[in-house]
Amino acid sequence: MVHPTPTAQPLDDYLREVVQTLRAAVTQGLRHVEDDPRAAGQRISDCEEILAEIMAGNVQEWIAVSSP
Amino acid sequence: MFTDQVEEANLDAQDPEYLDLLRRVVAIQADCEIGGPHLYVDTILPSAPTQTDQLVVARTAAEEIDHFRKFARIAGDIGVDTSYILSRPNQERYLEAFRGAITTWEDFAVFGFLIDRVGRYQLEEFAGCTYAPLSRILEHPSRVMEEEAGHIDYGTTRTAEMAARGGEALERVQRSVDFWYRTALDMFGRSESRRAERYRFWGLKRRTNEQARQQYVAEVNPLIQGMGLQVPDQMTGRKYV
Repeated sequence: MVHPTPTAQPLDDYLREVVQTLRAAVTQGLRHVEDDPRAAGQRISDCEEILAEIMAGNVQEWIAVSSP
Repeated sequence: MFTDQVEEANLDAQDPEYLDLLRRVVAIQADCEIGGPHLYVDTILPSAPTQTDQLVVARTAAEEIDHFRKFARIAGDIGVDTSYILSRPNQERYLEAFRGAITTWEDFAVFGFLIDRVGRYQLEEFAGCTYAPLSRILEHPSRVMEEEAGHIDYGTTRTAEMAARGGEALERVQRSVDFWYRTALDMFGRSESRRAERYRFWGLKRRTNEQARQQYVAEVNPLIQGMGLQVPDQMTGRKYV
């Protein structure tokens, strides 16, 4: 029998949210590159922080946080 | 040849070999999707030449993470936990292309130009494949193919720009092309791979490894030449022929 893994849904939910946050930060950053480099720099820092967490890959922590 | 359209609900009725190969190919694809960001996020995001480039690097990583999410979800739904892939060391990735680190802007650009292009070839294999959820990843409203095309275009444009500067810049780009070209050709796998034939039998892939490799060569060689770069020898340094 084929059964879904316990992490399938919560990991999907968590990463979906992370990607949305990252996309929003990138969009805001690109909007400010020309007129406000400091604001763009802040969005880049936000991206670095989020991506560092994803690259660390502590999945059990993410899922524990996102579970009700 | 197997031509059914399989949905998750009727996986239990499938041949064990089909299930094994499906699980394997989805896990490998998930590994490749997240393998890219693991090569360049730490080094290239802080050091990209301009803020716009930094944000493009972040956007590229976000899109690859989203692609990982989609393949990981399919894997999870068929009983394969790929969450460990998120934290595995680069040295343990399925494909050699993802086992090192990208430390220069030239390598980042050429990676997009040559390696993301191989990724597009791999994804094309899933279009219309026998496992319908896998095929649907490439269909509207999913933007996986468009996003991969964007990564390829960005890498191609940046590579061409650097090559056009000539001199040392051109030499640096040539070194990157020399490295990633042979890596790209190896990514297609061995020409005589038995497993590749079984993938084709079960309708999980369409082309042989060698067919895909030669189509890639025919596409990419003129692009390399058009940038004023030398096309590397196809056999030098190769591991999988």
